[in-house]
Amino acid sequence: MIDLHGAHTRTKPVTIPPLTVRLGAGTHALVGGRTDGVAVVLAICAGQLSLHRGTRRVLEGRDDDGARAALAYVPLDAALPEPMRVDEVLELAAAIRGEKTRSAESRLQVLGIGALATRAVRSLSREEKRAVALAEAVTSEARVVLVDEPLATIDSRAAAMVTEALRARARAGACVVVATGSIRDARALADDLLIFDRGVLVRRAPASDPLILAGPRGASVRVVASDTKRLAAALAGEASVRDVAFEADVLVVRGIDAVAIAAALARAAVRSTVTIESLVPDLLHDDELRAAIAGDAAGAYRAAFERAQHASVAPRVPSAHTNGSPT
Amino acid sequence: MNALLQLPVARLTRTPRAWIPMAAWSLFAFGAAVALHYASPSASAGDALQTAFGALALPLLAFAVVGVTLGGDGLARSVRSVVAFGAVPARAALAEVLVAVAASALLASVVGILVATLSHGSSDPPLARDVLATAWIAALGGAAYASLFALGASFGARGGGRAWLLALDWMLGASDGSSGILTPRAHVRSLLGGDAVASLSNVASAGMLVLLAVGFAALAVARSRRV
Repeated sequence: MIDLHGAHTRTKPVTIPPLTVRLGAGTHALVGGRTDGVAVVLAICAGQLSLHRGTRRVLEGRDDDGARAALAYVPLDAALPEPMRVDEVLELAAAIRGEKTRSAESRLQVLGIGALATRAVRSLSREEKRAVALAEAVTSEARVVLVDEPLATIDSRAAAMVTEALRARARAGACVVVATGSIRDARALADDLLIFDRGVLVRRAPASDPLILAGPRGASVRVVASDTKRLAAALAGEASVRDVAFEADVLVVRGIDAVAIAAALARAAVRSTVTIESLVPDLLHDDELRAAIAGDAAGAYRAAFERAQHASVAPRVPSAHTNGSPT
Repeated sequence: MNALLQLPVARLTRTPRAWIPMAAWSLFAFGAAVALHYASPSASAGDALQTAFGALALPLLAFAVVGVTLGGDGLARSVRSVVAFGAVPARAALAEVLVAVAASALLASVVGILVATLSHGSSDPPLARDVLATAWIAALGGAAYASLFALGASFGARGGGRAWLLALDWMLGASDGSSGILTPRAHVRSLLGGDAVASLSNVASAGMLVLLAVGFAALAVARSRRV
Protein backbone atom coordinates (compact mmCIF):
# COMPACT_ATOMS: atom_id res chain seq x y z
CA MET A 1 0.00 0.00 0.00
CA ILE A 2 2.95 2.33 0.62
CA ASP A 3 5.89 2.17 -1.73
CA LEU A 4 8.95 4.31 -1.11
CA HIS A 5 11.58 3.97 -3.80
CA GLY A 6 14.89 5.70 -3.26
CA ALA A 7 13.04 8.23 -1.09
CA HIS A 8 15.53 10.79 0.13
CA THR A 9 14.95 13.96 2.06
CA ARG A 10 16.95 16.38 4.18
CA THR A 11 15.27 17.87 7.18
CA LYS A 12 15.96 18.68 10.80
CA PRO A 13 17.00 16.75 12.81
CA VAL A 14 17.94 14.04 10.35
CA THR A 15 18.66 13.29 6.72
CA ILE A 16 16.97 10.24 5.29
CA PRO A 17 19.30 8.64 2.74
CA PRO A 18 17.64 6.92 -0.24
CA LEU A 19 15.12 4.54 1.32
CA THR A 20 13.34 1.79 -0.53
CA VAL A 21 10.63 0.01 1.39
CA ARG A 22 7.22 -1.48 0.75
CA LEU A 23 4.56 -1.60 3.44
CA GLY A 24 1.50 -3.70 2.74
CA ALA A 25 -1.66 -4.43 4.72
CA GLY A 26 -0.92 -5.22 8.37
CA THR A 27 0.86 -3.52 11.23
CA HIS A 28 4.31 -1.99 10.81
CA ALA A 29 6.42 -0.14 13.35
CA LEU A 30 9.18 2.29 12.46
CA VAL A 31 11.44 1.99 15.49
CA GLY A 32 13.92 4.64 16.56
CA GLY A 33 14.29 7.94 18.33
CA ARG A 34 13.67 11.43 16.99
CA THR A 35 17.22 11.63 15.62
CA ASP A 36 16.78 8.27 13.89
CA GLY A 37 14.21 9.88 11.63
CA VAL A 38 11.21 7.61 12.16
CA ALA A 39 8.80 10.56 12.44
CA VAL A 40 10.32 11.97 9.25
CA VAL A 41 9.76 8.67 7.40
CA LEU A 42 6.17 8.62 8.69
CA ALA A 43 5.64 12.18 7.43
CA ILE A 44 7.05 11.13 4.05
CA CYS A 45 4.56 8.25 3.95
CA ALA A 46 1.80 10.76 4.76
CA GLY A 47 2.90 13.03 1.93
CA GLN A 48 3.65 15.83 4.38
CA LEU A 49 7.29 16.18 3.38
CA SER A 50 8.71 16.79 -0.04
CA LEU A 51 11.24 14.31 -1.34
CA HIS A 52 14.53 15.58 -2.68
CA ARG A 53 14.84 12.38 -4.70
CA GLY A 54 12.92 9.17 -5.21
CA THR A 55 9.23 8.40 -5.32
CA ARG A 56 6.38 7.76 -2.93
CA ARG A 57 3.35 5.80 -4.02
CA VAL A 58 0.37 5.16 -1.81
CA LEU A 59 -2.40 2.67 -2.59
CA GLU A 60 -0.86 1.22 -5.74
CA GLY A 61 -0.30 4.51 -7.48
CA ARG A 62 -3.79 5.93 -7.09
CA ASP A 63 -3.93 9.60 -7.88
CA ASP A 64 -2.74 11.76 -5.04
CA ASP A 65 -6.19 13.16 -4.20
CA GLY A 66 -7.79 9.74 -3.87
CA ALA A 67 -4.85 8.45 -1.89
CA ARG A 68 -5.05 11.33 0.56
CA ALA A 69 -8.70 10.70 1.39
CA ALA A 70 -7.83 7.09 2.16
CA LEU A 71 -5.02 8.11 4.48
CA ALA A 72 -5.24 9.05 8.15
CA TYR A 73 -2.20 10.67 9.75
CA VAL A 74 -1.80 11.44 13.44
CA PRO A 75 1.46 13.32 14.13
CA LEU A 76 2.74 13.83 17.65
CA ASP A 77 1.36 17.39 17.67
CA ALA A 78 -1.99 16.53 16.12
CA ALA A 79 -3.99 19.65 15.25
CA LEU A 80 -7.78 19.80 15.33
CA PRO A 81 -9.95 22.59 13.88
CA GLU A 82 -10.04 24.99 16.84
CA PRO A 83 -13.41 26.74 16.52
CA MET A 84 -15.43 23.53 16.23
CA ARG A 85 -16.88 21.01 18.67
CA VAL A 86 -15.44 17.50 18.75
CA ASP A 87 -18.54 15.91 17.21
CA GLU A 88 -18.45 18.50 14.41
CA VAL A 89 -14.80 17.70 13.82
CA LEU A 90 -15.62 14.00 13.39
CA GLU A 91 -18.46 14.90 11.01
CA LEU A 92 -16.11 17.13 9.03
CA ALA A 93 -13.51 14.37 8.83
CA ALA A 94 -16.14 11.88 7.62
CA ALA A 95 -17.33 14.36 4.99
CA ILE A 96 -13.78 14.94 3.75
CA ARG A 97 -13.16 11.20 3.50
CA GLY A 98 -16.54 10.64 1.85
CA GLU A 99 -17.67 8.36 4.68
CA LYS A 100 -21.08 8.05 6.29
CA THR A 101 -21.53 10.12 9.42
CA ARG A 102 -21.63 7.98 12.56
CA SER A 103 -22.24 8.84 16.17
CA ALA A 104 -19.27 10.80 17.47
CA GLU A 105 -19.64 9.32 20.93
CA SER A 106 -19.45 5.74 19.69
CA ARG A 107 -16.35 6.56 17.62
CA LEU A 108 -14.63 8.20 20.56
CA GLN A 109 -15.63 5.40 22.90
CA VAL A 110 -13.17 3.14 21.09
CA LEU A 111 -10.56 4.91 23.21
CA GLY A 112 -12.89 5.47 26.16
CA ILE A 113 -13.27 9.21 25.52
CA GLY A 114 -16.93 9.35 24.49
CA ALA A 115 -17.53 12.12 27.02
CA LEU A 116 -15.47 14.52 24.90
CA ALA A 117 -18.00 14.41 22.04
CA THR A 118 -19.72 17.69 22.88
CA ARG A 119 -16.66 19.58 24.08
CA ALA A 120 -15.27 22.51 22.14
CA VAL A 121 -11.89 21.70 20.62
CA ARG A 122 -10.30 24.80 22.13
CA SER A 123 -11.25 23.55 25.60
CA LEU A 124 -9.32 20.30 25.16
CA SER A 125 -5.85 19.66 26.52
CA ARG A 126 -3.06 18.69 24.12
CA GLU A 127 -3.40 15.05 25.16
CA GLU A 128 -7.17 15.09 24.67
CA LYS A 129 -6.81 16.60 21.20
CA ARG A 130 -4.37 13.86 20.31
CA ALA A 131 -6.70 11.20 21.67
CA VAL A 132 -9.55 12.60 19.55
CA ALA A 133 -7.33 12.61 16.45
CA LEU A 134 -6.29 9.05 17.23
CA ALA A 135 -9.90 7.93 17.72
CA GLU A 136 -10.83 9.57 14.42
CA ALA A 137 -8.01 7.79 12.61
CA VAL A 138 -8.70 4.32 14.00
CA THR A 139 -12.45 4.53 13.49
CA SER A 140 -12.23 5.99 9.99
CA GLU A 141 -12.36 3.86 6.88
CA ALA A 142 -8.90 5.06 5.86
CA ARG A 143 -6.92 2.26 4.25
CA VAL A 144 -3.64 3.67 5.47
CA VAL A 145 -3.34 4.74 9.11
CA LEU A 146 -0.13 6.49 10.16
CA VAL A 147 0.42 7.31 13.83
CA ASP A 148 3.43 8.87 15.50
CA GLU A 149 4.03 7.49 19.02
CA PRO A 150 0.51 6.09 19.50
CA LEU A 151 1.11 5.10 23.11
CA ALA A 152 2.77 8.33 24.19
CA THR A 153 0.93 10.55 26.68
CA ILE A 154 -1.79 8.00 27.44
CA ASP A 155 -2.37 5.76 30.44
CA SER A 156 -1.97 1.99 30.36
CA ARG A 157 -5.73 1.31 30.04
CA ALA A 158 -5.96 3.61 27.02
CA ALA A 159 -2.76 2.06 25.64
CA ALA A 160 -4.45 -1.34 25.52
CA MET A 161 -7.44 0.21 23.74
CA VAL A 162 -5.26 2.00 21.20
CA THR A 163 -3.29 -1.17 20.53
CA GLU A 164 -6.46 -3.17 20.00
CA ALA A 165 -8.03 -0.46 17.82
CA LEU A 166 -4.95 -0.23 15.57
CA ARG A 167 -4.71 -4.00 15.27
CA ALA A 168 -8.43 -4.16 14.45
CA ARG A 169 -7.86 -1.70 11.58
CA ALA A 170 -5.09 -3.95 10.28
CA ARG A 171 -7.32 -7.02 10.55
CA ALA A 172 -9.88 -5.12 8.48
CA GLY A 173 -7.27 -4.85 5.72
CA ALA A 174 -5.67 -1.49 6.47
CA CYS A 175 -1.98 -0.71 6.40
CA VAL A 176 -1.16 0.58 9.88
CA VAL A 177 2.22 2.24 10.36
CA VAL A 178 3.37 3.55 13.72
CA ALA A 179 6.57 5.36 14.64
CA THR A 180 7.91 4.76 18.12
CA GLY A 181 11.07 5.03 20.14
CA SER A 182 10.17 2.01 22.23
CA ILE A 183 10.75 -1.53 21.02
CA ARG A 184 8.35 -2.75 23.67
CA ASP A 185 5.58 -0.52 22.23
CA ALA A 186 6.57 -1.53 18.72
CA ARG A 187 6.24 -5.23 19.54
CA ALA A 188 2.85 -4.63 21.16
CA LEU A 189 1.57 -2.59 18.23
CA ALA A 190 3.03 -4.23 15.16
CA ASP A 191 4.03 -7.51 13.57
CA ASP A 192 6.63 -6.01 11.27
CA LEU A 193 9.43 -3.96 12.81
CA LEU A 194 11.71 -1.62 10.87
CA ILE A 195 14.63 -0.43 12.98
CA PHE A 196 16.19 2.90 12.03
CA ASP A 197 19.55 4.24 13.11
CA ARG A 198 20.29 7.90 12.26
CA GLY A 199 17.98 7.84 9.27
CA VAL A 200 19.14 4.47 7.92
CA LEU A 201 16.92 1.40 7.91
CA VAL A 202 19.28 -1.07 9.57
CA ARG A 203 17.02 -4.03 10.16
CA ARG A 204 13.58 -5.31 9.26
CA ALA A 205 12.26 -8.31 11.12
CA PRO A 206 9.05 -9.76 12.48
CA ALA A 207 8.19 -8.71 16.02
CA SER A 208 8.48 -12.35 17.08
CA ASP A 209 12.19 -12.42 16.15
CA PRO A 210 14.06 -12.81 19.45
CA LEU A 211 17.07 -10.98 17.98
CA ILE A 212 15.06 -7.89 17.22
CA LEU A 213 16.12 -6.30 20.46
CA ALA A 214 19.77 -6.33 19.51
CA GLY A 215 21.14 -3.08 18.22
CA PRO A 216 22.67 -2.97 14.77
CA ARG A 217 26.06 -3.94 16.14
CA GLY A 218 24.83 -6.11 18.98
CA ALA A 219 24.10 -4.80 22.43
CA SER A 220 26.16 -3.84 25.42
CA VAL A 221 25.34 -2.53 28.85
CA ARG A 222 27.63 -0.46 31.08
CA VAL A 223 27.29 -1.20 34.74
CA VAL A 224 28.55 0.64 37.80
CA ALA A 225 28.26 -1.60 40.86
CA SER A 226 29.56 -1.84 44.39
CA ASP A 227 31.75 -4.78 43.35
CA THR A 228 32.04 -5.18 39.59
CA LYS A 229 34.44 -8.15 39.81
CA ARG A 230 32.06 -10.15 41.98
CA LEU A 231 29.18 -9.18 39.65
CA ALA A 232 31.21 -10.28 36.59
CA ALA A 233 31.91 -13.60 38.24
CA ALA A 234 28.23 -14.04 39.01
CA LEU A 235 27.43 -13.51 35.32
CA ALA A 236 29.30 -16.69 34.39
CA GLY A 237 26.93 -19.19 32.94
CA GLU A 238 24.40 -16.59 31.78
CA ALA A 239 23.63 -17.61 28.19
CA SER A 240 22.72 -14.08 27.10
CA VAL A 241 26.14 -12.68 28.05
CA ARG A 242 28.74 -13.04 25.32
CA ASP A 243 31.63 -11.40 27.17
CA VAL A 244 32.45 -8.95 29.90
CA ALA A 245 35.16 -6.31 30.04
CA PHE A 246 36.32 -3.70 32.49
CA GLU A 247 36.76 -0.04 31.57
CA ALA A 248 38.18 1.59 34.70
CA ASP A 249 35.48 0.89 37.30
CA VAL A 250 32.78 0.24 34.73
CA LEU A 251 31.77 -3.27 33.80
CA VAL A 252 30.83 -3.57 30.12
CA VAL A 253 28.60 -6.57 29.44
CA ARG A 254 28.13 -7.55 25.80
CA GLY A 255 25.62 -9.82 24.12
CA ILE A 256 22.96 -9.81 21.46
CA ASP A 257 19.89 -8.87 23.42
CA ALA A 258 20.23 -5.95 25.83
CA VAL A 259 17.00 -6.82 27.57
CA ALA A 260 18.31 -10.33 28.25
CA ILE A 261 21.60 -8.83 29.47
CA ALA A 262 19.68 -6.58 31.86
CA ALA A 263 17.74 -9.55 33.16
CA ALA A 264 20.99 -11.54 33.56
CA LEU A 265 22.53 -8.64 35.48
CA ALA A 266 19.51 -8.54 37.75
CA ARG A 267 19.84 -12.22 38.53
CA ALA A 268 23.61 -11.93 39.01
CA ALA A 269 23.19 -8.97 41.38
CA VAL A 270 20.77 -10.96 43.47
CA ARG A 271 23.04 -14.01 43.55
CA SER A 272 26.16 -12.03 44.42
CA THR A 273 24.37 -9.47 46.65
CA VAL A 274 26.15 -6.73 44.73
CA THR A 275 24.45 -3.33 44.56
CA ILE A 276 24.08 -1.99 41.04
CA GLU A 277 24.50 1.78 41.08
CA SER A 278 23.71 2.47 37.45
CA LEU A 279 22.99 0.56 34.31
CA VAL A 280 23.30 2.24 30.92
CA PRO A 281 22.63 0.47 27.61
CA ASP A 282 25.03 1.43 24.85
CA LEU A 283 22.69 0.97 21.94
CA LEU A 284 19.21 0.42 23.16
CA HIS A 285 16.78 3.10 24.19
CA ASP A 286 16.17 3.68 27.87
CA ASP A 287 12.57 2.58 27.45
CA GLU A 288 13.69 -0.92 26.55
CA LEU A 289 15.90 -1.21 29.56
CA ARG A 290 13.09 0.03 31.75
CA ALA A 291 10.80 -2.53 30.14
CA ALA A 292 13.30 -5.25 30.96
CA ILE A 293 13.54 -4.14 34.56
CA ALA A 294 9.77 -3.86 34.82
CA GLY A 295 9.31 -7.21 33.11
CA ASP A 296 11.59 -10.23 33.60
CA ALA A 297 13.69 -8.81 36.37
CA ALA A 298 10.91 -7.38 38.51
CA GLY A 299 9.89 -10.74 39.87
CA ALA A 300 13.48 -11.59 40.72
CA TYR A 301 13.94 -8.30 42.54
CA ARG A 302 10.72 -8.62 44.44
CA ALA A 303 11.71 -12.12 45.55
CA ALA A 304 15.21 -10.92 46.44
CA PHE A 305 13.81 -8.01 48.39
CA GLU A 306 11.61 -10.31 50.41
CA ARG A 307 14.52 -12.68 51.04
CA ALA A 308 16.72 -9.75 51.99
CA GLN A 309 14.17 -8.47 54.44
CA HIS A 310 14.42 -11.78 56.24
CA ALA A 311 18.19 -11.54 56.14
CA SER A 312 18.09 -7.78 56.96
CA VAL A 313 20.13 -6.99 53.81
CA ALA A 314 18.04 -5.19 51.23
CA PRO A 315 19.50 -5.17 47.70
CA ARG A 316 19.00 -1.95 45.77
CA VAL A 317 17.12 -1.97 42.53
CA PRO A 318 19.45 -0.85 39.76
CA SER A 319 18.67 2.56 38.43
CA ALA A 320 18.67 3.26 34.73
CA HIS A 321 19.25 6.75 33.38
CA THR A 322 15.82 7.38 32.01
CA ASN A 323 14.60 10.28 29.99
CA GLY A 324 11.05 10.44 31.25
CA SER A 325 9.68 8.74 28.19
CA PRO A 326 5.98 7.83 28.50
CA THR A 327 6.59 4.11 28.30
CA MET B 1 -15.35 21.23 -1.30
CA ASN B 2 -18.41 22.14 0.77
CA ALA B 3 -16.98 20.31 3.76
CA LEU B 4 -13.73 22.23 3.44
CA LEU B 5 -15.56 25.56 3.64
CA GLN B 6 -16.85 24.67 7.12
CA LEU B 7 -13.58 25.33 8.92
CA PRO B 8 -12.86 28.87 7.62
CA VAL B 9 -16.53 29.81 8.04
CA ALA B 10 -16.47 28.51 11.62
CA ARG B 11 -13.32 30.53 12.30
CA LEU B 12 -14.99 33.69 11.00
CA THR B 13 -18.29 33.23 12.78
CA ARG B 14 -17.17 31.68 16.07
CA THR B 15 -14.20 33.78 17.04
CA PRO B 16 -15.75 36.90 18.62
CA ARG B 17 -12.37 38.16 19.81
CA ALA B 18 -11.26 38.37 16.19
CA TRP B 19 -14.16 40.63 15.31
CA ILE B 20 -12.66 43.43 17.39
CA PRO B 21 -10.17 44.68 14.75
CA MET B 22 -12.85 44.48 12.07
CA ALA B 23 -15.23 46.51 14.21
CA ALA B 24 -12.47 48.96 15.09
CA TRP B 25 -11.50 49.67 11.45
CA SER B 26 -15.15 49.97 10.44
CA LEU B 27 -15.80 52.48 13.24
CA PHE B 28 -12.67 54.36 12.24
CA ALA B 29 -13.98 54.67 8.66
CA PHE B 30 -17.43 55.80 9.83
CA GLY B 31 -15.94 58.29 12.29
CA ALA B 32 -13.60 59.72 9.66
CA ALA B 33 -16.47 60.04 7.18
CA VAL B 34 -18.66 61.89 9.66
CA ALA B 35 -15.81 64.12 10.84
CA LEU B 36 -14.86 65.04 7.26
CA HIS B 37 -18.47 65.75 6.37
CA TYR B 38 -19.06 68.12 9.28
CA ALA B 39 -15.61 69.72 9.27
CA SER B 40 -15.82 70.64 5.61
CA PRO B 41 -19.35 70.78 4.20
CA SER B 42 -17.92 71.22 0.72
CA ALA B 43 -16.07 67.91 0.92
CA SER B 44 -17.47 65.16 -1.28
CA ALA B 45 -18.10 61.53 -0.43
CA GLY B 46 -15.13 60.74 -2.67
CA ASP B 47 -12.75 62.44 -0.25
CA ALA B 48 -13.80 60.25 2.68
CA LEU B 49 -13.85 57.16 0.50
CA GLN B 50 -10.38 57.77 -0.92
CA THR B 51 -8.65 58.72 2.31
CA ALA B 52 -10.10 57.06 5.39
CA PHE B 53 -11.80 54.14 3.68
CA GLY B 54 -9.81 53.25 0.55
CA ALA B 55 -6.34 53.99 1.86
CA LEU B 56 -6.69 52.76 5.45
CA ALA B 57 -9.86 50.98 6.52
CA LEU B 58 -10.27 48.77 3.43
CA PRO B 59 -6.81 47.15 3.46
CA LEU B 60 -6.84 46.78 7.24
CA LEU B 61 -10.31 45.23 7.21
CA ALA B 62 -9.17 42.70 4.60
CA PHE B 63 -6.00 42.10 6.64
CA ALA B 64 -8.11 41.29 9.71
CA VAL B 65 -10.53 39.08 7.78
CA VAL B 66 -7.71 37.01 6.29
CA GLY B 67 -6.10 36.68 9.73
CA VAL B 68 -9.31 35.36 11.27
CA THR B 69 -10.12 33.04 8.38
CA LEU B 70 -6.70 31.42 8.60
CA GLY B 71 -6.89 31.15 12.38
CA GLY B 72 -3.99 33.58 12.80
CA ASP B 73 -1.64 31.13 11.11
CA GLY B 74 0.19 30.79 7.85
CA LEU B 75 -1.83 29.35 4.97
CA ALA B 76 -0.09 25.97 5.07
CA ARG B 77 -0.41 25.58 8.84
CA SER B 78 -4.01 26.69 8.82
CA VAL B 79 -5.08 23.70 6.71
CA ARG B 80 -3.00 21.15 8.63
CA SER B 81 -5.93 19.91 10.69
CA VAL B 82 -8.11 19.06 7.69
CA VAL B 83 -5.19 17.70 5.66
CA ALA B 84 -4.66 15.12 8.43
CA PHE B 85 -8.25 14.00 7.72
CA GLY B 86 -7.36 13.33 4.10
CA ALA B 87 -8.08 16.71 2.49
CA VAL B 88 -5.93 17.77 -0.45
CA PRO B 89 -3.81 20.72 0.78
CA ALA B 90 -4.38 22.88 -2.29
CA ARG B 91 -8.13 22.32 -2.13
CA ALA B 92 -8.24 23.10 1.59
CA ALA B 93 -6.20 26.26 0.95
CA LEU B 94 -8.52 27.23 -1.91
CA ALA B 95 -11.53 26.88 0.42
CA GLU B 96 -9.91 29.18 2.97
CA VAL B 97 -8.92 31.75 0.34
CA LEU B 98 -12.42 31.71 -1.17
CA VAL B 99 -14.04 32.29 2.22
CA ALA B 100 -11.58 35.08 3.02
CA VAL B 101 -12.14 36.75 -0.36
CA ALA B 102 -15.93 36.50 -0.12
CA ALA B 103 -16.05 37.73 3.49
CA SER B 104 -13.65 40.56 2.79
CA ALA B 105 -15.59 41.65 -0.31
CA LEU B 106 -18.88 41.56 1.60
CA LEU B 107 -17.59 43.42 4.64
CA ALA B 108 -15.77 46.01 2.52
CA SER B 109 -18.90 46.55 0.49
CA VAL B 110 -21.10 47.08 3.55
CA VAL B 111 -18.62 49.43 5.21
CA GLY B 112 -18.09 51.28 1.90
CA ILE B 113 -21.83 51.80 1.48
CA LEU B 114 -22.14 53.21 5.01
CA VAL B 115 -19.15 55.51 4.53
CA ALA B 116 -20.57 56.77 1.23
CA THR B 117 -23.92 57.41 2.89
CA LEU B 118 -22.47 59.15 5.93
CA SER B 119 -20.22 61.40 3.88
CA HIS B 120 -22.62 62.10 1.04
CA GLY B 121 -22.53 65.78 0.18
CA SER B 122 -24.85 68.05 -1.73
CA SER B 123 -22.50 68.27 -4.71
CA ASP B 124 -22.22 64.48 -5.01
CA PRO B 125 -24.12 62.41 -7.57
CA PRO B 126 -27.45 60.94 -6.42
CA LEU B 127 -27.00 58.81 -3.31
CA ALA B 128 -28.29 55.60 -4.88
CA ARG B 129 -25.79 55.81 -7.74
CA ASP B 130 -22.96 56.71 -5.40
CA VAL B 131 -23.77 53.85 -3.05
CA LEU B 132 -24.04 51.34 -5.87
CA ALA B 133 -20.71 52.39 -7.36
CA THR B 134 -19.03 52.33 -3.94
CA ALA B 135 -20.43 48.86 -3.25
CA TRP B 136 -18.86 47.17 -6.24
CA ILE B 137 -15.58 49.09 -6.01
CA ALA B 138 -15.25 48.21 -2.32
CA ALA B 139 -16.17 44.60 -3.02
CA LEU B 140 -13.54 44.34 -5.75
CA GLY B 141 -10.96 46.06 -3.58
CA GLY B 142 -11.79 43.83 -0.60
CA ALA B 143 -11.47 40.73 -2.76
CA ALA B 144 -8.14 41.85 -4.26
CA TYR B 145 -6.74 42.73 -0.83
CA ALA B 146 -7.88 39.40 0.67
CA SER B 147 -6.15 37.51 -2.15
CA LEU B 148 -3.02 39.61 -1.69
CA PHE B 149 -2.91 38.87 2.05
CA ALA B 150 -3.69 35.19 1.48
CA LEU B 151 -0.63 35.09 -0.75
CA GLY B 152 1.32 36.88 1.97
CA ALA B 153 0.13 34.29 4.50
CA SER B 154 1.78 31.58 2.42
CA PHE B 155 5.15 33.06 3.43
CA GLY B 156 6.44 32.37 6.93
CA ALA B 157 5.23 29.70 9.34
CA ARG B 158 2.76 32.10 10.94
CA GLY B 159 1.95 33.93 7.73
CA GLY B 160 4.14 36.92 8.48
CA GLY B 161 4.29 37.71 4.76
CA ARG B 162 0.88 39.35 5.11
CA ALA B 163 2.41 42.33 6.88
CA TRP B 164 5.16 42.63 4.28
CA LEU B 165 2.68 42.73 1.43
CA LEU B 166 0.55 45.30 3.32
CA ALA B 167 3.63 47.52 3.61
CA LEU B 168 4.54 46.94 -0.03
CA ASP B 169 1.01 47.84 -1.12
CA TRP B 170 1.17 51.07 0.84
CA MET B 171 4.55 52.02 -0.58
CA LEU B 172 4.06 51.08 -4.23
CA GLY B 173 0.35 51.88 -4.33
CA ALA B 174 0.92 55.50 -3.31
CA SER B 175 2.27 56.20 -6.78
CA ASP B 176 0.05 56.72 -9.81
CA GLY B 177 2.86 55.49 -12.04
CA SER B 178 3.45 51.97 -13.34
CA SER B 179 4.90 50.85 -9.99
CA GLY B 180 1.37 50.84 -8.56
CA ILE B 181 -0.12 48.71 -11.29
CA LEU B 182 0.12 45.49 -9.26
CA THR B 183 -1.24 46.99 -6.05
CA PRO B 184 -4.93 47.04 -5.10
CA ARG B 185 -4.42 50.41 -3.39
CA ALA B 186 -3.66 52.33 -6.59
CA HIS B 187 -6.62 50.86 -8.48
CA VAL B 188 -9.09 51.35 -5.60
CA ARG B 189 -7.98 54.98 -5.30
CA SER B 190 -8.40 55.47 -9.01
CA LEU B 191 -11.90 53.95 -9.03
CA LEU B 192 -12.97 56.02 -6.02
CA GLY B 193 -12.22 59.23 -7.91
CA GLY B 194 -8.46 59.62 -7.44
CA ASP B 195 -5.67 59.79 -10.00
CA ALA B 196 -5.62 57.05 -12.63
CA VAL B 197 -2.90 54.42 -12.36
CA ALA B 198 -0.49 54.51 -15.28
CA SER B 199 -3.21 56.32 -17.28
CA LEU B 200 -5.48 53.27 -17.11
CA SER B 201 -9.21 53.85 -17.52
CA ASN B 202 -11.65 52.96 -14.74
CA VAL B 203 -12.73 49.87 -16.63
CA ALA B 204 -9.12 48.79 -16.97
CA SER B 205 -8.52 49.40 -13.24
CA ALA B 206 -11.59 47.35 -12.36
CA GLY B 207 -10.34 44.61 -14.65
CA MET B 208 -6.93 44.81 -12.99
CA LEU B 209 -8.52 44.36 -9.56
CA VAL B 210 -10.28 41.23 -10.79
CA LEU B 211 -7.02 39.96 -12.26
CA LEU B 212 -5.12 40.72 -9.07
CA ALA B 213 -7.77 38.94 -6.97
CA VAL B 214 -7.63 35.83 -9.15
CA GLY B 215 -3.86 35.92 -9.66
CA PHE B 216 -2.89 36.37 -6.01
CA ALA B 217 -5.39 33.69 -4.95
CA ALA B 218 -4.03 31.26 -7.53
CA LEU B 219 -0.47 31.91 -6.39
CA ALA B 220 -1.44 31.42 -2.74
CA VAL B 221 -3.12 28.09 -3.51
CA ALA B 222 -0.21 26.98 -5.68
CA ARG B 223 2.18 27.64 -2.81
CA SER B 224 0.06 25.43 -0.54
CA ARG B 225 0.02 22.31 -2.67
CA ARG B 226 2.10 20.48 -0.08
CA VAL B 227 1.70 20.86 3.65
